[in-house]
Amino acid sequence: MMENSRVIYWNIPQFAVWVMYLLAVLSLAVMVWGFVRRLKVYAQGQKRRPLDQVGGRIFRALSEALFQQKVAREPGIGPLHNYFFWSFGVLFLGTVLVFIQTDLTEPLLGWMFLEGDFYKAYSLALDLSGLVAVLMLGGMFSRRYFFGAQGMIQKPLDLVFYLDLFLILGTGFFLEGLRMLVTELGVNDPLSQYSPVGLVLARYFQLLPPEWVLPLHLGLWSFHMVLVMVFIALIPFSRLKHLVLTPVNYLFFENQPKGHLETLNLEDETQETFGYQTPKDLRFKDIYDTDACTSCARCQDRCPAFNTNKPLSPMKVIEDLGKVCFELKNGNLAEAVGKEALWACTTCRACMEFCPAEIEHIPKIVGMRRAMVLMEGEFPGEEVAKAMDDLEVNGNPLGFAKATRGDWAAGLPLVEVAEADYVYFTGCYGSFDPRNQQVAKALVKLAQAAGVKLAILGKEERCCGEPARKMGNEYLYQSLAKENIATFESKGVKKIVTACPHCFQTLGQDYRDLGFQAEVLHANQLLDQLWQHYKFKLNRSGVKVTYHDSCYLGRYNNLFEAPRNLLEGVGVGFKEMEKNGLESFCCGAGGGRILAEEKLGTRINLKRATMAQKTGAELVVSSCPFCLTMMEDATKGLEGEPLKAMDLLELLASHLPEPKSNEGQ
Amino acid sequence: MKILVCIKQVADLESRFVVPAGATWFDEADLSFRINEYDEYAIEEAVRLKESLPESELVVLTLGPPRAAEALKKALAMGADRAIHLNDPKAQDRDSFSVAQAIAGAVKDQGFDLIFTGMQSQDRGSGQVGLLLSELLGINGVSCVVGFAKTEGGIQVERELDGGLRAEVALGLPALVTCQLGLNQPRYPTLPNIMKAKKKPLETIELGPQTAPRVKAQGLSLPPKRGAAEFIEGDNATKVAKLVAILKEKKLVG
Repeated sequence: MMENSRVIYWNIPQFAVWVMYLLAVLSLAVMVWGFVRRLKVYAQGQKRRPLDQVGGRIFRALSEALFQQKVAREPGIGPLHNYFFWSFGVLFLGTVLVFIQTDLTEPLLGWMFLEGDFYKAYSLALDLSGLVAVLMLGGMFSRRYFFGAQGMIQKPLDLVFYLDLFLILGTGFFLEGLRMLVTELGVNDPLSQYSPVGLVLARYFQLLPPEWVLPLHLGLWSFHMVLVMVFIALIPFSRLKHLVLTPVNYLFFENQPKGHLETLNLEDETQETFGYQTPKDLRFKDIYDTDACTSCARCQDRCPAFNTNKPLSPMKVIEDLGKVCFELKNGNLAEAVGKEALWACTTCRACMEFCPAEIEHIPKIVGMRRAMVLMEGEFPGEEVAKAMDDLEVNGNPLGFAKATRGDWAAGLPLVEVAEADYVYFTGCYGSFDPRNQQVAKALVKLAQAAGVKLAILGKEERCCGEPARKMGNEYLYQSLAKENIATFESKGVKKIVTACPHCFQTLGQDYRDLGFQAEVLHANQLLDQLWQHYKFKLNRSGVKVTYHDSCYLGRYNNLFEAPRNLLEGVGVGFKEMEKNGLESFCCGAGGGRILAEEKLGTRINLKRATMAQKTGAELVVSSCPFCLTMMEDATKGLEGEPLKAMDLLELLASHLPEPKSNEGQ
Repeated sequence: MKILVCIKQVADLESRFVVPAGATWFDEADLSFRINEYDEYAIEEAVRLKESLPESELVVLTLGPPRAAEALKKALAMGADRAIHLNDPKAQDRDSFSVAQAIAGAVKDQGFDLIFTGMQSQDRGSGQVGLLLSELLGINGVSCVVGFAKTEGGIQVERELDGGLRAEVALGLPALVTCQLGLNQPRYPTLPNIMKAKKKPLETIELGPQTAPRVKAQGLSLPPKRGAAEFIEGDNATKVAKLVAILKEKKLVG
């Protein structure tokens, strides 16, 4: 009777199988060596802290490796990659099953499981997976080489491993076809139905002279084996290293809220270097990241600096760092990456948000900026050095006298700190910049309408320190932060609201490392809460509006809904930009860039304002003083339909019903 | 070589100055203070010189109230080796001669080869202390320096003259130069230097009250308010209408 199975190593002489095993051991040894020799590269950095929550980390790594949710986020290539991975995984599993039966269960237990219905399913699964793998590989190959995803970089051996994979899959099908020609075609036709691709090939192979079939099969088999061994050996030396390194990187992710930067210990007098000057200053994760990068360019595609022709690509930063680390010469990092590239970063976090390999770009960039500022006294320009000096002397980067910080609020209905529901941390732009003072006043008006009592610190408030920190000036940041914390603590402040996402992130998160624990809300959160509880009313209007998500409110703090709820409250004709939410495109002012002139490339704010204009909106609404400044500036240079920039608070305040005559005293 | 830099801490010019009735100096409450801009050029040039001469010592000196110690700390962080604070809580009442005299008294026996000062202070602007000090010490003095080079046995400096002219002057040592904008770009202190500065010696010398002032301030007042600029706002049509109205009102157009 016909067995529903196949003879493993059909037509293969025993010695060839031995040669195969020998080659397998060799190629595995090469692979292991290829990975082990990296350990000394990883070990250059600071001592690694032991991992916390190991179970959760392993779960996350396995889940990302097997299900690849982050990879799948990218339309097009994401699904291609996943289907390829899963189909290739089935093929790999099939080979492992062959090994288990032939070398373990059959000789030891006399048990063969690749038989009967299971074999049919096995055969069909492998055959179809091979087909899917070929198609997906073709898709990935043509994307890389013909539909050239912009700015993709070629790595050594890229073409070699593509060719190798195509040949492995191709020879696999040919071997199947040749074997089926002999063992199934006309012999066990019902079984051949379970290998549809092989069957088609087997029919074509009938055209071959019969005496060619067996030698051709043996030759192809040997070739197939060599290709597989080459593939295994290639893994650590090519882009294929990501098969191992990238999932493992999920073990090392920084278990901190988004946007966390290491708070340097400036009291430690044994510390001689600050920031990232050379590989020995890097954390383990920083070095490992450079190796786990797959150069997929998702970061670069979203980088506002890269997309306005500035010399920064987050992908290239990682690549350049990797080069320095792998030289093992403790070379200078900032010089390798390029200082102009480092200064161009707006810390918008789009790179980190979408990196499928869990790479942390921003801590590296800020780390290198720290080295430039703290070790060399370097800044991207004199205007930034001047702003730092003003921060030091007057507690704001704009150069205004610190005693005048509260002047904007003269005559407004504010209360003393002790009586306030919230202390309104106004920030430098709200306090001093005439345009943003309007926003500050709007918040006071809204709070009054909702019956919330606000106080300000006035001349005792200092810059939260965010622009200085992101520019690398950790020393100045900490001295400003400590002044603010001391003021808050001396006044017993427990609840703070701010209209600035940068202050919000800094007071609410960064200050925690310095022991500050007060509740910090962004005005959008507070107003959304009040709105949900019917604490104030809004007139409705039909003005056409689009909303620009500030990086530090959106990507950093996931506050996407509150502003949209409030916009709905005004009833505006709301239209999203294509890049919104997590995909929002930075205004250009984050990362301390608000202090710097934009000398390279085209203007980021203009690019963003153009996106807003395309929605047909009359108003681009945002919730950040930096965004407002940048958008306001951009709307002036915009061609075509006029566009106005406004803060959400201004829009809301202008829609408050007129107070009755006995109110507002 | 022994190098001295004399600096002054001044109020930030952006400050909102308040002069109490009858006072001869402004109220210092709520003000921010910084190193006099010209003195920063002096520090920077002195630090550069010191860095080029391994065996040299750089001393920074100030005459001022207790708050002025902050300025010394910054100078130490920029690269000075030690600091001298001539402490006088009423320093603002001293005239230039008395300041120069006090400094001369403190440094005359220390054998400085080169003294750098700012060309003038941003608050009082007399431009006298540096040159008076060189006179009192009996050494060469040259003002308004925008270029500096150490030569064999002396220095060569470039002075800025009226009308953009530049004069090259060679001097023997010891000498004093007062530094002008354009001489250099002062450095931003690095963190390791800020930390090291905390351990550098800072000597405080208490000054007695000034005797027999030669110049006495009679009064101090803010400049009279001049007409402020006015921004015309609105769309273009409104702006034009408002502008025309203003021009007519001022009888600038017919």
